[in-house]
Amino acid sequence: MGIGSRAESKGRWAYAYLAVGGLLAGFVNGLLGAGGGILAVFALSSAKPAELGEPSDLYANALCVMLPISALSCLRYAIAGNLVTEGFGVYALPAVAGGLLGGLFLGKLKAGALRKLFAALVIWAGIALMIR
Amino acid sequence: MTVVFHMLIALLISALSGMGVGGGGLFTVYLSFFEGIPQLKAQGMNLLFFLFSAGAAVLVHIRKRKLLPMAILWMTAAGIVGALCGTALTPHVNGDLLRKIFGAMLVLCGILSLQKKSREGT
Repeated sequence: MGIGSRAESKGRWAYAYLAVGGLLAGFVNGLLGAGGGILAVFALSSAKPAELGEPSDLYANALCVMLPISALSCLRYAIAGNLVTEGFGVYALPAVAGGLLGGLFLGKLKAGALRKLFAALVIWAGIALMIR
Repeated sequence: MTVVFHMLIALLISALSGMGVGGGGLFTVYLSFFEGIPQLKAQGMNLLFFLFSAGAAVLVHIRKRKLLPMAILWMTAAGIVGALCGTALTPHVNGDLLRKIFGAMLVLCGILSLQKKSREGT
């Protein structure tokens, strides 16, 4: 087996790995309405580390994956009668503004401390939800 | 005042989400804790919120970041199958159990996020 075909085979496995990652991300996102993004980030960072050198590229690709998946999940929640839109207007504008700001500042800010704070907050919220 | 507070919280969570720090699940927690919205409905609203937030962020990313179309395509195609399975299962899971699973998922995400931070050395 030549170097080219070996690289080709490795590439195929990488796509298979990404597909499994996408499947899991979609499942979790559909079941829990969140959480798929972090799985997508992990799948991408494991399968495509060379092509995605910058963490900001990694997150951007994960967001592009999760957007259509979330749209489908949202549609399915709406069909099942589990989507409440009453009162959502208050959140729509900040959601768009926040998304734009996040996109612009991604990679520019030192996100280390922010991520640490976020992780602590998320762990606290998770424990609170479990014992509630 | 209350409306401004809600808007600020939404802005912060959306910005965190757009920056890749995380935040997706936090809006569900906020709706559940502070608005008293049942878990399943909060999840639905979180998905809608994400569409606005990520949709805006993606508009920026398409111009500025290196995207891998084939990787996105493979993951999205498989993810759609996963989402169909996940959303089909959701109505059959008891609300309390769903909340506990969601809580466990948040704890896991928090731990993974901390590990990611130490790996990147940021």
